[in-house]
Amino acid sequence: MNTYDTILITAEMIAAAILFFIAGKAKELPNTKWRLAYLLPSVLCVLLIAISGLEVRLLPVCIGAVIAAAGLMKETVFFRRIVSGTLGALTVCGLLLCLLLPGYRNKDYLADFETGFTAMRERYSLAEHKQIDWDSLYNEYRPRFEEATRTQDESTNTLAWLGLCGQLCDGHCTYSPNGMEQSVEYPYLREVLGSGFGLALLQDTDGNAVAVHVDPTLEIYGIRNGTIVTAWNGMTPEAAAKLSPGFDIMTYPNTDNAAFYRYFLTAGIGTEQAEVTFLDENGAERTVQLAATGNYYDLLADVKRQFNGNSELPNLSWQNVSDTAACLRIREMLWDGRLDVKDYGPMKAQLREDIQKLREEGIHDVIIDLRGNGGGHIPMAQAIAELFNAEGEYVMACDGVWDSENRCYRKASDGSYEVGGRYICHGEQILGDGRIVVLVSDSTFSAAEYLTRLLGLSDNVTIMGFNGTLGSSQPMGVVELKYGVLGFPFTLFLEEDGSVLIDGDAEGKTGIDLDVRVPFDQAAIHGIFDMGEDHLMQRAVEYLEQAVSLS
Amino acid sequence: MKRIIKTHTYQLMHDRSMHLMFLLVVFLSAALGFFSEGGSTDDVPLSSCHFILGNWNAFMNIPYLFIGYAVGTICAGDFGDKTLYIELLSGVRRVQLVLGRGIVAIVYSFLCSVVITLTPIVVTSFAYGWGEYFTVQDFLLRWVVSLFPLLRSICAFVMLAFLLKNHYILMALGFGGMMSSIQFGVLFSEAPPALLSCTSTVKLGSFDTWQVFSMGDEVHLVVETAIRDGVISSVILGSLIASALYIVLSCAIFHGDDMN
Repeated sequence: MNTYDTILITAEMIAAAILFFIAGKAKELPNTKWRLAYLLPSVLCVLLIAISGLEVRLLPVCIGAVIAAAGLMKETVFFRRIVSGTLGALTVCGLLLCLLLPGYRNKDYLADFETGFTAMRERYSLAEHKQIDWDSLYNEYRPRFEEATRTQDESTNTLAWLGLCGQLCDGHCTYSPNGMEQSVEYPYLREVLGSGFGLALLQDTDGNAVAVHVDPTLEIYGIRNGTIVTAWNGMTPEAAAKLSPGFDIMTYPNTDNAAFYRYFLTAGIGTEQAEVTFLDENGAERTVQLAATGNYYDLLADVKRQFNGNSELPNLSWQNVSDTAACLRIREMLWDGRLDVKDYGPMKAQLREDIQKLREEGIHDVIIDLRGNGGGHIPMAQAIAELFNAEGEYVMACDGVWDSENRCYRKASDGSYEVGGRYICHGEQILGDGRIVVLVSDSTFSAAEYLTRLLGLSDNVTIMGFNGTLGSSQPMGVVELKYGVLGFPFTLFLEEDGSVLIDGDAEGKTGIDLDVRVPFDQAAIHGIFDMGEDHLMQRAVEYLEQAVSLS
Repeated sequence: MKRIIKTHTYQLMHDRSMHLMFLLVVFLSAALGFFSEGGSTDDVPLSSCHFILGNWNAFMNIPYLFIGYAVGTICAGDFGDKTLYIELLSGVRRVQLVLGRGIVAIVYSFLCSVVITLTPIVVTSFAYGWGEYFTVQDFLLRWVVSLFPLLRSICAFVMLAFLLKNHYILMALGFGGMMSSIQFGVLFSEAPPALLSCTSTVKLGSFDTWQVFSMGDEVHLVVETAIRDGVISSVILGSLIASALYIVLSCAIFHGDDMN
């Protein structure tokens, strides 16, 4: 039971006993002050309910306290003993109701959903861009919150929120239950995804579901990295993936990425065993039974890590990758881990100094590795872009024009958004004639996408990856709910033409295109998952070497 | 009872210290409006809307300072010089004595509180303009509803006057009420809005706000003015019931009370 409720019940019981005693004592020692004691249960009741909130099951206690207050009016011993006794009896009733009646101090997850959903509906700045059908989402998710309230299951509530956020296909749409970090989806997904079967599936360049990160013990079945899987538990890999509890949560704003990860959840379907059909070395279909092993979420996290180059280099560190090229690893858009940096001058000075040294060593090209960079502070992206971009002016972003009266961003007659302030950065071209390759993945998002986009505006920059950036760049606002914190963008940043900056639209088209798409083929799979190579980095180095030889 | 009401009304009209106290509190309230920064910044200038958003609890609680003084003087002032006992000996019923004083104290304190709470709004409107976050009607709705918890507090002070029989303690309680109401309101955030007058005031002053911003420093504050269903009715009903209860308790406490 709630501590304050326990205190209330105990205090009222004691008060009832004392008042019963006082009824007789007041007769022996007449004093009008005795009357005031009969107000005590009411005062206690109001104070404790004010602190802990009202619980309907404690209503008998409140009624008892009010009845006890009548002892102030009528001063006969009999009447006062009756009201004291009534207080005691009703307090016991309240205690029994709390203990025996289900639903004591229930969490109202549904009310939280209504509050959060209303806020989303009103404030989400990309709703029109993504053509969100709020009514359909409401009808789809409300029953899940009803269930969470009925079962009082926090996990159901959190997964429903994560699913709802996932349906917006926006990396900046998140939910964290109270007392948990923003990366809350990890522990919850870890739990619901359950066991894996020693492999994951990705889509290769030809559209096949291919096995990756395959446990060496599966070799006996003939399953290895690159094996094409044609069915999972008798279903197509895509159909099987849709059965995963993570299916509505792990979504992508970009259709390319959505396709790339189409089969990502497939190999987690099944409890003890899974029936896997694949093409063997001779191209013949074979079906085997695989036993569950390890946690599937951990396996997927490993796949993503390897896919992103598995680099352990610290943020803003350099690594020579060839005689003429160095790699600048930017793990996050935070300098010294801070979001409140006002002046990036010292950071730029440090990078200038580093580049000067590298150039003296004969390095003239740079690979900027933004894979796995989940963003941070946009001004840092601007500062880095200013260093590397070719000389000239670049529009980093434009503000939307906020219409205070209608509480929305103003639109022009052609349907595009009206453009407010323009934010310009000036390229310094610190590398001179040197070329720049920017490595990205679907884990490159938010402020890292600002950097990717800005760098991409320069002719000396090539954006390269197996797949594009995530496509979520609008800054996030938060709504504090009773049982958690909901985050999603309220603000809208635009391109100069009034189109939405970077973020994926209803068709899954984002504002950043790859210049070079490296094929995710057997060579890449073998290199990454068998040899532990950074295949994308190798292709970037080759690309720069080819550019040098061509020039 | 009419005679008691008339007597105290006449007394109030000629009580210079009461007038002075009222003017002092009005001045304090005006100063709060004039010197407050609200939630303003260099980019977002002060306006009445800003003042209301940032200082609701402060200006809605300033009247306690005056209520403590006025109710204390009207209801408990005559305990000190025993005038009240003379009235009793002259044949006035106790309930008439309580209600006569109580009605004057409630009406006078309530009317003065209306002026005190409106003063900073008028001052900021003239000095800085109304602002754009919500309309005057939106404010008036919340303000009118929040007068009910104020009425409830006045009735509570009347009850305390007949309980404590000391107008100095009432004045101190008025000052304490002004200082502590905000803290209590925040401390009791889980409580139903209608439970206490401070929870009602805090709830009515809680505007849900959110912001959109530019890549520069410009910030647009959006204020949700709607009040949740049931809050208004529960606050009004709760306040009226509690007010009536306090008056009944005042009569009950004074009825048959020792006169020493």
